[in-house]
Amino acid sequence: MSVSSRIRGLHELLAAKKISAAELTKAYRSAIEKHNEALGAYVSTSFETAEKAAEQADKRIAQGDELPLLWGIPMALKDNISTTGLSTTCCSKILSGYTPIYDATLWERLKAQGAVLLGKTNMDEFAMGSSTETSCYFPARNPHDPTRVAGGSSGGSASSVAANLAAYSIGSDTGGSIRQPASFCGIVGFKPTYGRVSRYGLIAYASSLDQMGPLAPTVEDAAIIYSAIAGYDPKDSTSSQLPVSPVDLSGDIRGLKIALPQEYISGVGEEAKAAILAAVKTYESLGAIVEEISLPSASYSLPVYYILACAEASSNLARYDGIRYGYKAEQYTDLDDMVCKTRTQGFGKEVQRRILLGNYVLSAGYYDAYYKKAQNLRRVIIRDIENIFEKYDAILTPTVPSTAFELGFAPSDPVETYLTDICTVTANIAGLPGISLPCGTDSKGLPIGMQLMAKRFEDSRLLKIAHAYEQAAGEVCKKIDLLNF
Amino acid sequence: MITREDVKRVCELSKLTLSEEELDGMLADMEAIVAFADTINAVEIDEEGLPPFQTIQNAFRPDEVIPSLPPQEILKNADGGENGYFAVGKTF
Repeated sequence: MSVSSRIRGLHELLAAKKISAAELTKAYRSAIEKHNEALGAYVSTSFETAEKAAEQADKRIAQGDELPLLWGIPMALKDNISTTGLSTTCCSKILSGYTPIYDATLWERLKAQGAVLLGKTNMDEFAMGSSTETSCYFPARNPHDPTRVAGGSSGGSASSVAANLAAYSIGSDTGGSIRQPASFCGIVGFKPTYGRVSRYGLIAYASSLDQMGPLAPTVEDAAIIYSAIAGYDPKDSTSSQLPVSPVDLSGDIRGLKIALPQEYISGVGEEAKAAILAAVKTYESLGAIVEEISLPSASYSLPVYYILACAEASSNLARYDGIRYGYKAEQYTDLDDMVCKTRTQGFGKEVQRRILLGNYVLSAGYYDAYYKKAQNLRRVIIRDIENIFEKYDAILTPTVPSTAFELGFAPSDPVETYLTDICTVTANIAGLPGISLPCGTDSKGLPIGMQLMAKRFEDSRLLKIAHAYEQAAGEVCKKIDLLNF
Repeated sequence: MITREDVKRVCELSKLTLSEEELDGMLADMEAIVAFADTINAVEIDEEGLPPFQTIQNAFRPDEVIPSLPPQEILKNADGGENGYFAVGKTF
């Protein structure tokens, strides 16, 4: 069965006036009202503004204008993306009651394309986690098996799209937080090149690694969303001024060279390994050349990632002091006591752990051994990756070593939890575009994802490579559709 | 090797107040994480061909005055502030 774009399908229905944006929005609203309690995908909803936006969208549709593909289509944003007048909490008690007074550039761009925002999606607190269980509200569940996690940190974004409680959603990815939940939920998750999508209005976790991107049912959907959000933004000095190459998914991939790092294949379960090797066969049948390579830096990319991410987080999260926004402790003796109590009561345990680790690796006596060494190793990883891309067009790996695990599984040793990110952190360390797409299911029927990475700013080419596989493979895992219209 | 004193010190630096019991749990977690982080110390770095620290250029906008966010709006998230300022309790 061929894989077809959900956004294009809805666009055609809207353009042909077979359904109105208002009706579509109401259908999503009723699906969310019925199923969100079981899935925990949304932490807040904005149905009234969504319905007004949909009515406005319908007015333009009625005029018969040619409109963007995203026009009038209901979607969701992760709860760390700033939206004027709508609660944005990073699923943390410390931001309870906070309402942004400005929009993220990404959201401004989507609004200009006619996007209709249904609500904000669940996430691990401050995007720190791999299962959306560190959310201060409730965990997000996997539509394929609600006793299992949706992944994280963009778990709510993945769950909402996989169940069709949003046509598509936006997540953020610091070490795999778009790609890992996409893999667990059987959808596509795309982290663009660092600097390709403005981070203005994304509440910071680790600024040199953070990137927003789409979670969507298909590669074509991800490409449509990417095209709407990519490009330079004067409000983000780390956004790139390079022109955005238009996405062209057509044409074959004959002669394309794909590297398969053994280090990532050997570390995964048998079922994931078999699914990846079957994907390799599909690529070969399309005329691509797949070769096993070695990526020695894979063995230390994870500790490098955690040192750098925690160091940056400890600095970024220093701003939460109970004075300017969010939660404030009620009883205290003096200013210092107020700040300490606010932070201790407001941050969850995982966030506290990462702040402490970050301040530890940055503190006098440890800076050189950890932070400086990790920065240097980041350069080694970048060099190793650049060497690979001299010979290859893309790198193929599993997205996650396992499929979705049961809620409450979280190991008592935090390091074991961190190992979930082993395949995904490299793209963040080196700033590469990375995409996860479904490539099979395990014996329980749970989705298995594969990851493709390309050279920096080759986002369009990466999407084409992923699309070629998706079209050749067809539907590889069960589709769940809770929308009724 | 991270000690209990180290954890106490980073708690102070981080403005976090942990109870003695919480400190025990955090020490155990941090011991495991720091041991994991220590694995990078065994890696020798071959400096040849290393890219510079900063591979991304800052993209500055033109130095032109653009409207800032209105202070009264900003202060709404801080209980309104006082006389146009953020307000904190008495510190003396």
